[in-house]
Amino acid sequence: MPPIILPLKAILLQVLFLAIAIAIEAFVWRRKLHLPRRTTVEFAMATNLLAAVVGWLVFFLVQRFLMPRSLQIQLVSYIFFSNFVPNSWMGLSEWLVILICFGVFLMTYIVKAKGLSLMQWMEVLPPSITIPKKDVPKVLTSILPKIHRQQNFTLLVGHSVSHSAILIILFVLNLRLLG
Amino acid sequence: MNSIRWLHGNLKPPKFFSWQTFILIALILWFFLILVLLSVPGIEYDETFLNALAQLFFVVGVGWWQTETPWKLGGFPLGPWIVSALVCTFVFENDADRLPDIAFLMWPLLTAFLSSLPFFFNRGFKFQVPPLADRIKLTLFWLLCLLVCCWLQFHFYITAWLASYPNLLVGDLPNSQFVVRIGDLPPENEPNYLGGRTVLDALQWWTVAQIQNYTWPEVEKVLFDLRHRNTNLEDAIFPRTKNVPVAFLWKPEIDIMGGGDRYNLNLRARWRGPASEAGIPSLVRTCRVQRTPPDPQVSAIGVIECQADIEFEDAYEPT
Repeated sequence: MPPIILPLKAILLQVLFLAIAIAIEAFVWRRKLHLPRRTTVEFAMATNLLAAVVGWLVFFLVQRFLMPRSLQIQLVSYIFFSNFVPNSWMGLSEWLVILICFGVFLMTYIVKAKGLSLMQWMEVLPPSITIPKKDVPKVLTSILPKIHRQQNFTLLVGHSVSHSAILIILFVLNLRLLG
Repeated sequence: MNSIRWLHGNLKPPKFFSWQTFILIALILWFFLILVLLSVPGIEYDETFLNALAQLFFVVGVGWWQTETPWKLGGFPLGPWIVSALVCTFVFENDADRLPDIAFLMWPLLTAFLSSLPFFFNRGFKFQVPPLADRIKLTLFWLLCLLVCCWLQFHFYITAWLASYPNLLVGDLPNSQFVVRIGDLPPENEPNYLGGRTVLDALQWWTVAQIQNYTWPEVEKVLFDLRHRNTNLEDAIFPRTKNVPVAFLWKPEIDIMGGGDRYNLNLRARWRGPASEAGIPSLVRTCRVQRTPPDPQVSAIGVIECQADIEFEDAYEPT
């Protein structure tokens, strides 16, 4: 059988991280907004899956159209061998990785927040706070921005906690790798 | 005998209008197709109308069968995945009997589409916006299928990288957090020197062209520039390497030893692409430059001789 290279570890890591993020974020939704358990899991699953898909698409676009050849070599080297190639990006690479991680953190948060409000607008997901029917006109003018702020803040808290957990796991994985 | 009884028991149509009928029609059409192919040579079977018709009947039959008695895996129906796989195979199969990447990428998408169709029609087969309770299920399933699609695309990117960067298949990949290798390496686990040999040959061609039969002062000027790294070797050999896509990953170098009226040149192509810890050996070829004739009183020319074979030098950190 001729050798094939499969991204199995990447897929397993992503499944693991998605599971962790969904569990943690569902917990945060439940604690802060007192939503029903089922709704919190749906919130967490929808936002995290959306962020994962958008993240892959952005990665493909950047890799295909925006990445200079020399940086692509670094990427390939990192994916295959977890090391960097001595070229002009060498000294920059570690810093670049940190910068990219921070950018990814911010961008996924924005994708999640916008995706969540879009899905609520399409009535795919319920609003995070149930408003009695008779109060709707009053609520629309006065409290709606506040609700949005509260929802986005809860999202940010969950996002930060879950990503910190993932970062710790990555750290442990890399410690084992170095040792 | 048992298999015929099994076929009879499972494929005998209970009534005329049933999924068994469709699959039987497809099988009969394919049987006719075989007869036609045997009697009329030179027909591409997958371009015939008969084949397309048989495929259509087969897909509809399988789809119908899966809606009546769905196979399930942990509560998820497998029918859409099966039908979608069949459609993608039939539609994207090309002359070489190979499935292009797009067939695999379309597979989860088509599955998501087929799975969500029932939610868009009510009992009277009228179009409807999916009911509130089903929308979140649909959305999550679509996102999941898109994610599978992205994983497949990532695999195709890796395959493309393997083509553009040889030497990625060397040895194991124990350090990688992303990929694993499945299958055996070729028996002689030799790194792929594709591109490296081109660079070395181009380097030899350029060096010989600079030295052979030039007057000795001119030769010494060339060697002086090489020794002080004044010459851009990559530009120099570019005319010979521009058609080899991976050649730019090999760095050309020339080391100069000796002096007076005889020099030894080490022409080297060093890998500077992705590599595992062990690294990829450099390719080295030795050349000798001699002042001819050696008599210092007479004006002389340079003569260069290069060995034919290539030596492998262990990788080392660049200085």
